[in-house]
Amino acid sequence: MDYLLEETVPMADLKKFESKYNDEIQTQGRASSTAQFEYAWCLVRSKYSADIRKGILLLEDLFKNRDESAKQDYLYYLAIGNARIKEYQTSLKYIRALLQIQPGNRQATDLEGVVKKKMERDGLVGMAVVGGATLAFGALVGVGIALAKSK
Amino acid sequence: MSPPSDVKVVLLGTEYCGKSSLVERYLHDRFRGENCYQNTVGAAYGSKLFEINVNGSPRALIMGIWDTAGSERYQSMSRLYYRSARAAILCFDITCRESWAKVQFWKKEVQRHERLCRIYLCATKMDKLLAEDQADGTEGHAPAIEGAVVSRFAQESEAALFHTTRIGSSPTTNFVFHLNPPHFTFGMPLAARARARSLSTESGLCCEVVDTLHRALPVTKAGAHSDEEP
Repeated sequence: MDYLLEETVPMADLKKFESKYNDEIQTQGRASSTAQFEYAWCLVRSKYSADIRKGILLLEDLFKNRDESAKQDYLYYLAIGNARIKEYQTSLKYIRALLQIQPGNRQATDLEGVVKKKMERDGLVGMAVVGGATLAFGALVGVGIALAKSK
Repeated sequence: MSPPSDVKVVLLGTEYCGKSSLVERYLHDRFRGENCYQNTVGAAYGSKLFEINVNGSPRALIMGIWDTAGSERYQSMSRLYYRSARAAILCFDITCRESWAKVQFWKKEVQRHERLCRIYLCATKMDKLLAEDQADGTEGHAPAIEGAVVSRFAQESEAALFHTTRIGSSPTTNFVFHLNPPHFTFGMPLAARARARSLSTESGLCCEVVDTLHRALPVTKAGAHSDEEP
């Protein structure tokens, strides 16, 4: 299931939807919700976190100001985007909102599982890093004391 | 990184025509019922492991199934999902004219962009028509598309045509998809289900898809990964 967060979009496709979005802004002053969604959908699957953040902003705008019928789509990709930049709490918040609209939505529950697992794993890694640093520091102190004593 | 897949199968069709139910039946042999409708967001991935025989030795392959969202919202993005697919199952609801129009659209799209992709046609919800023939007075739907039109289109597209039906005592508990011709099973006819469970890796759509794969490109040696882009 991890692929839900690991799938990336080919650059060429991102560029294509980006220019469609920009063209609409230039010619009509505002992009259609379709073009904005397509572009955001690519951005949240980008390799780069700056892109992902931009995608999240575009989706938030869509969610607040546009098409009611697509709310769950926006929420789903908001959850994906946030999870991909490790904003797990925010991601879970969006998943819960989606589940409120459609209880038992399987794609949402699958994603929830993946995000929670990631969170746990990252938490453990974080603890391991802190633990490792403490050990290293302890060793240094030990060496220091030993050196001081030997003089 | 993409989900694992040696043979990629994609389902395309208008929303609420039964793509997800078909996959659900195929992968888990169950039907969630009409009241449980959830529209797919983007595309949902599912997979099935199956074995083929290559020069007398068995080889395991993963069939990756992309169940795409039918909503217009995803139309432009769908190309990312059917890219490098070896089989496209174009679904339409036999009682819904718009869904048939969409099939023609998808056929053109897929044929234009994916030369190696085989096309399959699937007419869903056939039982809605059958209800007409039953003596219990239930009104059946009229088919929105004539059978002859569908057959002709299938021939022109060189596409195998399937009819799926939900049959059972209660519409929500015991639905079974029937397929025609029966050896191309995607989902199991009721009687053959238990027997076919063990055979399912060798039979039906898998074989057909693998056939396509064999013709389209040589299966590589170790790992049996095809030469697709990620």
